[in-house]
Amino acid sequence: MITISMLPVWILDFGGAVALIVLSGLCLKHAHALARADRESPLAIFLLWFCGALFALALSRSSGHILKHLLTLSGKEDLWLFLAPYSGSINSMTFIVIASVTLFFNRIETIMERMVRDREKIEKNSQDLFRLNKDIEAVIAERTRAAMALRIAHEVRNPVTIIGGMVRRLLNAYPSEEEGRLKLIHILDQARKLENLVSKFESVRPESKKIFAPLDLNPIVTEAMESVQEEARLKEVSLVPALSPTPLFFHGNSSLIKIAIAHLLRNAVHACGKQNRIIIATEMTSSGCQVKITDDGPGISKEMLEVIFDPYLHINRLSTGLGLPYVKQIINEHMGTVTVTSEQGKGVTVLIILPTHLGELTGVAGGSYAI
Amino acid sequence: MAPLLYTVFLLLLGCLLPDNALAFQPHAYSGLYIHQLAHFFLIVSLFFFAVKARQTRLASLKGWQYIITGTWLLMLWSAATMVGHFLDLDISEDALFLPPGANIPLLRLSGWQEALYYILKFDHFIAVPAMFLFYRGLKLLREGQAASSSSGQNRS
Repeated sequence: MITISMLPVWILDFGGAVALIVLSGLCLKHAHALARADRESPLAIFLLWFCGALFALALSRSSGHILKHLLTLSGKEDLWLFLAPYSGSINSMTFIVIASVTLFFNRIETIMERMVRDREKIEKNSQDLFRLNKDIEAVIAERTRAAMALRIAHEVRNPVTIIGGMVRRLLNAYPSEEEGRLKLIHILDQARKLENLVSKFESVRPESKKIFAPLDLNPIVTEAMESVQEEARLKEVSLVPALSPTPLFFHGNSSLIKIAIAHLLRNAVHACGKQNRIIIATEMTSSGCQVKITDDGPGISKEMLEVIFDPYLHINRLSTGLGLPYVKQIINEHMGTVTVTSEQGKGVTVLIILPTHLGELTGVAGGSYAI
Repeated sequence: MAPLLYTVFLLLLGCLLPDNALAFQPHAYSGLYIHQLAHFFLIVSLFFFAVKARQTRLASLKGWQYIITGTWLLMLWSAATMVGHFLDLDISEDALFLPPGANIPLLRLSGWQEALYYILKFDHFIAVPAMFLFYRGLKLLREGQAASSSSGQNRS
């Protein structure tokens, strides 16, 4: 029969108990630092609780083991027998706490995934807004530059023309040999230089549309739909795409067109209710690239339709976002048209037509309220 | 609502029975079972945690890889101690004895149970590495967090 000393067990138990307390304490310290650095992170809070529970387990279990050895070696085994049930019970409780905390991980991970998704969405929206802001600034800068150039040209042209005309008359009146004639010719030269300068100012205007580029309409419409998809889902409104199978090329600015279409879609979603449908169709027509947004919501009255693009009007259906006047402005910038038709109780149809080349479109068929 | 009221009525009716009231039960021997069930609960919850964590994007982080491995070791430790507690009851009473004048007991190896019991007593060989892996993982996560926040400050 072999007998074996329990001394190695005791030594390892003692050393291991101390190591467990130290390591679990360090774990708790790191977890606390992680949670303090990011107080709103559910994952950091989870780790703090998890490590707190681990530390409690290590402390209760290890101190129990150390105490057991110390009391046994000092001949106070009876005292240990008294304390042992308490130590074991506390250990059991710490197991339950660790297990309970750990079971929450599943829920925490779900929250974290949603937070990451939302953060990505916010970042994407911020980038879109930044791009849009840049484009709007570019449009405003171009407009301001053109307006200033035209104003200067207008203000300068008239006096210069008058000066030139007067000098020519004087030149005709002066005999050719007089000394003053040379001075008049010099004045006339300077007036001509000013006229040339004015014509250069005028040429600034056609340089606009620098921020416009050849684009395919379908991806822009798809992105606009995606931006309102969540709102539509919450309202139980169906967004039905019916996009042209072929690319619809036009000359324009993607951010501006996207914001205009998204605004119209958002309006439609807000106006519609459960089970309503919004059909977004694109196609190439003889007039240009067409976007048709049709909903089967409550519609708009004829009186409202007449003033729908009035910038000072506030209609509940149209109260979201930047407003229809802004949409009108964007489509105007693209030399396009936007038309709204509706029959109350049967829905609304918004028709946008964008010319394939700027300046190509000159009008749109009547029978509705077009810009 | 009706089934709920019916259940409440039956429970109240039970209170009217004076004999063999079951409100209090003796727990003289339940301590070990509670402890073992707590070990089992710990193993189950850690298993779900380790499996779930491996399926998430966290598993790609070095720090979390250490934590997940530490979790598997902690499960193993919990299982080993569970078996150890059962063997505590299983081995004969005179297997562990204190020789006269000695402070350290001896273990009489009369079968595989005693041998396994002795091996399982070295459970700190599993618990300490598990805790070290948790510590290492958390340290890496903290370093990663500090690095990302300092790079953010540099950018701003």
